[in-house]
Amino acid sequence: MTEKPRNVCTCGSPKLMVYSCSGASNVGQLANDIAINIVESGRGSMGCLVGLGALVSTMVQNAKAANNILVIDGCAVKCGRKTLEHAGLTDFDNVVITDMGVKKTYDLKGDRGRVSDLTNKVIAKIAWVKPLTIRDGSTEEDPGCCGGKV
Amino acid sequence: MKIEILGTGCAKCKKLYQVASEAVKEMGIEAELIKVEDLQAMMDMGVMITPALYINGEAVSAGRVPGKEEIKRMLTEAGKQ
Ligand code: SF4
Repeated sequence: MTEKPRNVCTCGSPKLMVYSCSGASNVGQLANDIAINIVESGRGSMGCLVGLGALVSTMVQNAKAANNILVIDGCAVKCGRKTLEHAGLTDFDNVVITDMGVKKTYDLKGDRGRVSDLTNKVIAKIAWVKPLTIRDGSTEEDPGCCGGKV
Repeated sequence: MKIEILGTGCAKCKKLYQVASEAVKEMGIEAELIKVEDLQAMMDMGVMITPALYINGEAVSAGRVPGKEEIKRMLTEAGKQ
């Protein structure tokens, strides 16, 4: 029998679903790194933006089931925002990395030193999302009907 | 028609199975009801929130238990495609 992956309870709605444009530029890649940091901080789960763009039914339903959605776009083109709208989602928060003082370049590894500072800035914009402190046996709101035990 | 209920076997998943079975029975349609409880299988399908309901391979809801009438509407809709 295969062992169950740990801490992968799926039966509660995530407080926050994060999408990043993950675009082909410094800011697109920074958006991706920031999304990962937000997930690692326990504030939410990351969804597949490209799946939403392709209107994959599972991805659309995942997004619809989230309590809150944050879209991180690299630049003012806002592909992430447009992708969500294309999938029929309108109720979400949207941050744009170039609005935070980063100049867009096509250096995919550019400005990596700014990831943690930018992560903090994005987290400050979604201050209402508190990190889940305990995952196993969590008493946080909506830990899922398994009680967050799987 | 193929109906799949994805969930780790918790109360909400069981409820969804029950409501979907009742909807199928009341509509008198031919449908195969499948429970998917394997976490890896769910992840492979991209499911992040359960219970998830699939009709003919398409996700129609996730993270909630739709009411019987809603499921009937979903089944009718899927039947047209
Ligand atoms: S928002 Fe900007 S960085 Fe992101 S994918 Fe679109 S063009 Fe690229």
